[in-house]
Amino acid sequence: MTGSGQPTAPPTAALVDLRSVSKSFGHNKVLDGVDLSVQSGEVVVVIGPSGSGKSTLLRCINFLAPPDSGEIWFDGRPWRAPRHGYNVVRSYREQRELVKLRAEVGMVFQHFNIFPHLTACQNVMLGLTKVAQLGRTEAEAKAHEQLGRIGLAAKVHEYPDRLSGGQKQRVAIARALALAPKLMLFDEVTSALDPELVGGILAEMRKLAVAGMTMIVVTHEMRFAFEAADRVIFMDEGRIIEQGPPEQFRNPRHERTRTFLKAIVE
Amino acid sequence: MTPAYHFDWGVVFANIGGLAKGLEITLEVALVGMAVALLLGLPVAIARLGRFRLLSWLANVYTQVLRGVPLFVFLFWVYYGIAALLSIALKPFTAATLALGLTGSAYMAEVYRGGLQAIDPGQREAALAMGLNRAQAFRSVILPQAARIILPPTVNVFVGLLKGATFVSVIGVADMFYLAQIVSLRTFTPFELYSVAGLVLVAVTTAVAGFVFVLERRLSRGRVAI
Amino acid sequence: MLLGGFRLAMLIALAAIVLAVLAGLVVALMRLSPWAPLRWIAFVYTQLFRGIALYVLIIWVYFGLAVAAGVNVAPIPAGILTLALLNSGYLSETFRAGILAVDRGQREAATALGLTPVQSFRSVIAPQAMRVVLPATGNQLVDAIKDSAILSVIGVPELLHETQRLAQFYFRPFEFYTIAGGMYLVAVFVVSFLFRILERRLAHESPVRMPRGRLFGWRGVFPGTPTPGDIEPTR
Repeated sequence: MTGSGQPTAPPTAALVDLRSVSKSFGHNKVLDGVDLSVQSGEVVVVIGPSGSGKSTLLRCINFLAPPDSGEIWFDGRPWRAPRHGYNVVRSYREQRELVKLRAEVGMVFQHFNIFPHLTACQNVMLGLTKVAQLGRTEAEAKAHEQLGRIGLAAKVHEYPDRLSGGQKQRVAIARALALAPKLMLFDEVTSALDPELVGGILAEMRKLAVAGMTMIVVTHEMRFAFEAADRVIFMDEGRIIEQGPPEQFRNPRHERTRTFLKAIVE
Repeated sequence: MTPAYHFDWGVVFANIGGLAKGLEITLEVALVGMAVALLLGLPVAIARLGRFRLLSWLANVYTQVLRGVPLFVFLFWVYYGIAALLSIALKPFTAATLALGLTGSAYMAEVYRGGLQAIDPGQREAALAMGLNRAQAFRSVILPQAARIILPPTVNVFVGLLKGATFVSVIGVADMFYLAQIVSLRTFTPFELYSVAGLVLVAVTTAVAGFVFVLERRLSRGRVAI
Repeated sequence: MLLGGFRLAMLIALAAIVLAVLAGLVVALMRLSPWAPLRWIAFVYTQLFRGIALYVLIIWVYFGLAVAAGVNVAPIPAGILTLALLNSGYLSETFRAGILAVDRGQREAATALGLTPVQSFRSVIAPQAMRVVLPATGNQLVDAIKDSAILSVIGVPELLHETQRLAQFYFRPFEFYTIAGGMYLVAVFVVSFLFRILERRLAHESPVRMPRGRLFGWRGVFPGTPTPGDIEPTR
């Protein structure tokens, strides 16, 4: 229950702190006691085979997939998974609490998930008007600015079906950034893109990293990991197998990491 | 039966005002029934898709039963059955709109459900991830997209209700057939009035059905800004 | 007496659907014919019977046309004919879609094997179209059962007609109409169930069940469940 959410003193200076977080879907244990702290301004790249729990890890942080057990601290206070599914009033309060968290955590998805019934501009404006409670004109100005910064000034009023995959993903990034999040989650954001469009999106992400954004990036692009990450994490079967600075992954310590890296380089 | 039937189209013109009034009543029954169906169908669909097991089960039973019982039988059940059970006298018009509306709501619930399920779950995820609450995500992201999918089958449900509204005279709603029945008892000219009433209704249902056809083509062609 | 009415309703619906399947098939083939006037006639036929309400048609046929032409059709044949006409309109569309759903390559392959058009339709196209068409035919039978209640207005002594009689006789409308509603419901469920089994038989595999999407839960969030794939030959 988040009602007891008196901001307690953070035990560390970390922006995000996961403590033995576990999550199962049915009998399938997707996360198995994961501990992870991310400092403010840090860029963490998460790699691992598919089904290793990387995506679920991201979804636990903003409770899109609430963890079954463990603690999640963000910005100095613990956040709890909804527990009162059948109590409408308490469930409503819990969801309202989570909205505060999600407004401060931006997320970009593999399949873009931009809203096809809204123009690029309206996609960005939705969060500004509904979540940040800005007026229409102010929101529109901010949306234009945000889209311009990511190179979409000419496409502001286009509907998503007139945009390329890369442009859609840019809209998605702008949509998340517009709310000035403290943390950005990237979930294999280049996996669904044509190869020639991958570089552009990675470049935007690098810019963001340089600007000091705290980021957790799930990706298969080792190039990005070497260039932009402060720390790389290798996950397999719901656990963190190995973590360290990117250089460590040029010559990983664990056999499984080595096999995986060899497989994706080929 | 007289082998030589004497045609007398004059009876149609003599009753043209009554026929128009009857058509109006048929359309009214269908439209009011549709309004009930539209309003009632959405909560049923949401209950069906929701996480409350009991509500979901009840919604399922509601749709299955109402879709399984013929509207024609349901109409009698509402008009005679309910009235006898509660010892109240329902007006024929009220009973007709109620029967059409409830049956329609079961069909609309399925239409809504289909539309809502057709939306990529990622859409809802993205909406929640950016901090919209569940109601906002539903209203601003899911519903507008589902509306596009829902539109053609919704008009189909309306066509169904329109067809259903043709037989409400059996419980005494004063539509075109009611008039035809009464007049032909007096003048023995059933063919003319029934034909005109029938043709008018065929024209109305075909027009609406044709509208669905065009709509489906338009919508399948590409994005329609909503 | 209720059971007698129930049995008659089932027989009428079944007879109507058998006729409708035959007529629907002919109309569907006409719509796919290379000869344009045949296509137009079939198109008008389909649109007309899909657009018209059963109540309108039965009243018109029984009270109007019969009186005007001086022919006296018995209620039961008139009812069966009307139901058959209406359903053949819907079924012809279904059959057309089913035939068109079979891959072009299948027809080409059959022709290349040296089968005549009739042979290729019978042994290659029709069995494959069957899988597409069967569920819709089942729905049509369900509709015919439900629609048969309307035949009470011309005096066919089917379930609703008997119910009305008894309800009036015993002054127990709620009980009788509820029982009648229940009987229709049972018939509808049984027929749907039988068709689902038949479908499964034809598919030679358990049908792919889509997970129940949960709008407000988390289960629908993870896609990746297989969707029913291409139509496979059923032999």
